[in-house]
Amino acid sequence: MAHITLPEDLPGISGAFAFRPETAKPMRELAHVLLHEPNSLTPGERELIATYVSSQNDCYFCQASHGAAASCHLAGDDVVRRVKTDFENAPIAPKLKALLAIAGKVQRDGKLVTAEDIERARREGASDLEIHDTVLIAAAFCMYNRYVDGLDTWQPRDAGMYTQMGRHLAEHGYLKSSR
Amino acid sequence: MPHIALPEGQQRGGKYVTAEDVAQARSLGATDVEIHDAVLMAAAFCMYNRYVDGLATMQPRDEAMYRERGKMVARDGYVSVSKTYLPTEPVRR
Repeated sequence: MAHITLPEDLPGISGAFAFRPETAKPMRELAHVLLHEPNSLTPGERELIATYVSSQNDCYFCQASHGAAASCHLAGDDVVRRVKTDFENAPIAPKLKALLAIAGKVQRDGKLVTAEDIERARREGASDLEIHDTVLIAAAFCMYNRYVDGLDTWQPRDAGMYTQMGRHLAEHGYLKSSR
Repeated sequence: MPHIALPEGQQRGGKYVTAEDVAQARSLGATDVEIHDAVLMAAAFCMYNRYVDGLATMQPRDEAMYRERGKMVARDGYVSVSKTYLPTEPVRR
């Protein structure tokens, strides 16, 4: 049972979005700009950042749904699993590793990001906009994760549901619910 | 301030909010929307704070500036204030 009365058939953040459409709108739009709209980082790379931060925050719903979206973009869930457990040794570009290191620090506290972290990302070819978006994706998932868990939303353990959700997110983005 | 206990747990992680915290807020008169908004405000400031600090933005030690800004925000709200720095045309990159 969620802490407040949310629509019963909508899992995770969807129930909270339906409860308060006024706040759902800007939250959906932010996710859409950050994760789905064209950007020099691919949607798969940005979903990996979102998944990694959600796993560090231990949010089941967000890591399962964004992990499924990343798998869909990247055609396989092995890379998703390896990014979550040990991204420095995952089969991803050095630039993405440097950005994930920044994201991991933002997840704990923005002040932990050092000039060296930024230099490493720049050296691996990250632009200012990519560094900005990485910081904001990590920060935004500290919001989404706490929103989902802080309301104690319904988070079913149903792999098929997340695969389907991930496909919908990868194809259509975040502006409209899949339900 | 009925549900101060909610954001305290919420800042550390959403799972820290217990059924007892919520029951206490309710017993003091908090509605579902108020509890929802307390949780979302706490969550949103975990984003805003990390955004501001994660980019190492300039944060002047100038109390008068914050007082003026506070007055403007209290009077006009956040959308109106953002018009002072948002471009009227989309930025081309």
